[in-house]
Amino acid sequence: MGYYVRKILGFIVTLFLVSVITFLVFQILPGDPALVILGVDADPVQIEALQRTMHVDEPVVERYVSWVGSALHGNLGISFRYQKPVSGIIADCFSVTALLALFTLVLTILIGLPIGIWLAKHDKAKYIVPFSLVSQLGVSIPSFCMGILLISIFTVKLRWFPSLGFTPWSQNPLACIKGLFLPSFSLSLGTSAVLIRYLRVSIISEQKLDYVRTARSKGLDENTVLQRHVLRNSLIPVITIFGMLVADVLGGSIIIENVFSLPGIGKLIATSIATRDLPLIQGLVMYLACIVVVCNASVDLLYSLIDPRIRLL
Amino acid sequence: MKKLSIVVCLFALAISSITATGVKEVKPNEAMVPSVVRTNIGSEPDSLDPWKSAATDTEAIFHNVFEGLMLYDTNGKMIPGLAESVVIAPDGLTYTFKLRKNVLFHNGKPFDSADVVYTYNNLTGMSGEKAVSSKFSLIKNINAPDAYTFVITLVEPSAGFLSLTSIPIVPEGYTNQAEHPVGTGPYRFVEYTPGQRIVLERNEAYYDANRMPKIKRAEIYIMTDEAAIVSGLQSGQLDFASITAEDAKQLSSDYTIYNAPQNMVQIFALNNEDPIFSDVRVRQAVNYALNKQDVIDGVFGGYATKLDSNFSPVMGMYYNDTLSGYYEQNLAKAKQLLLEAGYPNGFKMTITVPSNYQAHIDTAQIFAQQLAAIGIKATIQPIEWATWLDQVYTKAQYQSTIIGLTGKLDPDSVLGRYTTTYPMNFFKFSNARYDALITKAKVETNDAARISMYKECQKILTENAAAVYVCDPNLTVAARKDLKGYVFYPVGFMDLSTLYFEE
Repeated sequence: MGYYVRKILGFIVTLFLVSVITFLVFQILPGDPALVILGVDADPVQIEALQRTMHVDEPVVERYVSWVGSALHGNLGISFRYQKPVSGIIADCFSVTALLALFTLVLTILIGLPIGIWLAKHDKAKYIVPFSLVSQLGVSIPSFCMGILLISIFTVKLRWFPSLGFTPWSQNPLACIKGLFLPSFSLSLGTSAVLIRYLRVSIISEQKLDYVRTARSKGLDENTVLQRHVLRNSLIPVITIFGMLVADVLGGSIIIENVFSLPGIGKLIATSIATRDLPLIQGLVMYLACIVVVCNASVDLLYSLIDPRIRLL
Repeated sequence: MKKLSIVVCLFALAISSITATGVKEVKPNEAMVPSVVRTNIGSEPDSLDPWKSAATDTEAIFHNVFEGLMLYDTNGKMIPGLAESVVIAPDGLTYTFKLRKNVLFHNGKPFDSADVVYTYNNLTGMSGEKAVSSKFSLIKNINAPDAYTFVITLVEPSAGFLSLTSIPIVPEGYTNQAEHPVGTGPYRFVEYTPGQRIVLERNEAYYDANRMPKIKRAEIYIMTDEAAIVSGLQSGQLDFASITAEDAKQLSSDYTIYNAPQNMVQIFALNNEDPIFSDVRVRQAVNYALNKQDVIDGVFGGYATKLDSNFSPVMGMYYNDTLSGYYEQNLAKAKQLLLEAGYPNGFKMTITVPSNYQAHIDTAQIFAQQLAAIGIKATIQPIEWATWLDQVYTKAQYQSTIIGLTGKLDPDSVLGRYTTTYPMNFFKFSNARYDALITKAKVETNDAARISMYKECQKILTENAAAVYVCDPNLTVAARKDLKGYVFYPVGFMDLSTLYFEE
């Protein structure tokens, strides 16, 4: 019980600190959001009218308190830039990024799991060395470079996949998958290389343990040993890595969404900071902070699912 | 393991089937004439509501949706729009507009003088609300004698007033423009997905058969990444797009490249109130030290027009061509001027550049090198756009900067930036004779006299070296070969109605 109380308290304190810090940082940062939105051709009257809707002239503390007040009621305010409720904008963009992240993780598993297992089974230099070279490339090439490369091959030359725009799953699932394939593929190359390395090492070290020998001596064939016993135990360190990969994917999406013109959270973060859209930034930061906290908690939970010996203390 | 390989196979199969069905969609050379034209916009629209929008990029798109009493043609000349004619009284104070009949707004509402009265009431603040724009403060009175006549009376004569009447007319009482814009233009608004695209569709009820769009639908993608725009073109996902001069070279064999001055003035602004630059001789020395052609060749690939005043030749009759070549690079003269000003060994200066404009940063680098030849050590300080707007543009806390200012139809809105009382006069230029000329030109109704006043203003700017006027970079547009009819305007307007696909 104490575990959950502590977790939740920590969660609240984290969110509070995050909100105070972002609020303060954007007070110090120069830049008038109204001017950024309207640009150098704006009529002074228009700038004034927009400023009035933003309440930027009120004292900082007052604004913060009223923001917290409405945020607790689930109202994150109105975006300066889009003049729409922040929560709605974030929800729209989040669905794009969440799908992108999901696709990336699925691809990471589809690529990483079989190769990792295969390499562990065939633990020979003639397989390992070329793989190390390739995976080194996979890890070191930034995903946006890979994205541009993939676009020039699969979009410009072969014309298999589109490179701009997003079709919601509800509208056309096929077009949705097509649009997200290249960006998630470019993100997953790096992450699956990491997954393969950890999985291989993990399986190999598990295979040396006593229970594996016992299993083999029972007369189980190699595949059963691997699937029933080794794999399950090898996945524990892999889950830890997976938690980190989620953060990686979210971070990588900021750039990859710009390369593929996807209207996701990453693109939204870039726009909101550039236009000093304080309510939107504040909302986004809270959202991301929540995700990170929740991800960490779910990794803890997954540990106990995979290995019941690990208790949530 | 077996299960896993089955999953992998299925996935591969799924992907290949998806790609197989998708090829048709993105192929550029379809036999059928496309009914959609796809292009890009470099930034998110600032607001869909024309009264709340000021960005050139937004206007470029939404001028297809909205129309004013008057429109402008490709030379910037005012032509009838929702008004089929206008009569200006001899005293220059009364404008009588005869309105077009049988015009429908995109929501089906018939257009008449009530809509014009509603629009101008709000623009001027006569509705009791705050005025939407400060530009219409010279209107004394508005009046609609009947459903198709609209009369404006001005406080004083204004030669530039007619160009203001291109401001959109909106339907009376409709307040949802920010969500769903409604105008009378050749295209009607369909949807806007933030971060992704704007979709417009042909207004089938459009009143002018000559301007009736040939293409049914337009999709405008919001794209900031240059490489993404180029690959969008190359893969056939975009039909036309504005691109950099460098990319134009790469694309020129497969695409039609349209290239024209865009009425922008790239300015190397020197803060006239800075202790060093307050001396006109120093500003002149900087002008003599620079070679603008290097920028045109090096930064804009030769696609730019050299300037000598705060006007591009696109401004036509207002452009003062006698100033051409006023400051040709002359290092001896530059050094002499520095010596007279008391800087025999030059000085140190900072060029503050908005970091989101690569062209301006590149220009700063060329200039820094050229200034070194007369002993001026220039440091380039790139700053974020929002910071630039705050510190340089609004507060004028800078020494020098490089920026492009877009042109306007009315010379007053361009040259008025240099008047002492203009709130955003970040040049900090102040000249009593200049201010007097601008005020006088505003009310001068004799065209010839007015033109000569604006020419004189340009001369004052150049002689006093208010800034360094670098060039008007071309707008370069690449279009797929069968897309025809792209036209340029002296202001940012992407006219979709003239475009058509060749069969």
